[in-house]
Amino acid sequence: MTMPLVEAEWLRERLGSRGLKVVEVDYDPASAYNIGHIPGALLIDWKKDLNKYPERDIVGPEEFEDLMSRLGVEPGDHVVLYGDYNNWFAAFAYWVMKIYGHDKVSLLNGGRSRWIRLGYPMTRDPPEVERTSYRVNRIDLTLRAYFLDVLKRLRDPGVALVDVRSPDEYHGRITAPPEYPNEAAQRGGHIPGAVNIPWASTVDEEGRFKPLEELRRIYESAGVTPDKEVIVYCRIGERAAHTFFVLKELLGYPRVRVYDGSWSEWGNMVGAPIER
Amino acid sequence: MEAKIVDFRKIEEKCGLPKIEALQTYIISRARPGEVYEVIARDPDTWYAVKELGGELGYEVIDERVEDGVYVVIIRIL
Repeated sequence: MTMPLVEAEWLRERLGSRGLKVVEVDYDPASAYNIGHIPGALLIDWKKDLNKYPERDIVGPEEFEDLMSRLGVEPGDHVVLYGDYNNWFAAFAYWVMKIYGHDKVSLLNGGRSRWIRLGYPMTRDPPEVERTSYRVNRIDLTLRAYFLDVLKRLRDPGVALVDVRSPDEYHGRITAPPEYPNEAAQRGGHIPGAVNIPWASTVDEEGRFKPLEELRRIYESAGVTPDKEVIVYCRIGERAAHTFFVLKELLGYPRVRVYDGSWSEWGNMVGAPIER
Repeated sequence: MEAKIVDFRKIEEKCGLPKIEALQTYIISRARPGEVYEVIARDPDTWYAVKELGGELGYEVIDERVEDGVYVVIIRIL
């Protein structure tokens, strides 16, 4: 059984181990991976490698196979993901890897920031990669929710909708985070019935996940309990993937789905009901 | 020369650009050779980027420090 979460100390001791692939997942590789990364780490450029344009969708199984092959990943490799922006995009990659059946995957606690904070080695040297012929053997679409899945479940007492954006976004006071002014929706607010549990409430000041008991209390006190189907969303799915990781992988909730269309879809959809 | 203080977080919020472009647009392109800037970051990742991008963007790092969760890099424009 692969640990879903590994610590920087654990990883540093194992760098270069056979069967271990370290992958940095960046939203902004020019300001991150390209100027320094964990020695031997490979790069996933979130925008180019995990998304299909102009469809606006995650990559399909063939593109995922090509990505893994290009990175030299074998199906049995243990992949450790980390990245910029609070590990959001690494968590998104984690979610995509789970969809495509790669179970030996972990997230580095605290991501790129904590590795730097600890003063651990960084390099600009590109890793040596030998291409593989990766094949997807299983696809699990129960981890993903689409617009209609959410619409049909509004007010369903067996479903917990979790909005992981900031309170200002949830209440419609802003239509995008300040750092992303170009990604605003037409309307501000949230999906009716959604509770607001910001992603940031799950981590400490170093970006590491809080203790499990504390995480459990945060969700259960808001009515998000393991007996329910949980659907998480944010703006484009990256912060939702971070919360997916907490609920599904750390707390063991059995049914958790990411609605990656998120507010950038719902907030722009004609006729979709909203609350503020 | 007295350093001009730049809060990187405010720049990122203002322009919504990636770090490298924000640094280029709001500091380097407006600065004169010899000017000194104290760049304040709120996270180690941004701090590291400012320290490492001098070669590409045309400045030298003359000091760096971390104090109470605030990450500071002092740069001189070349």
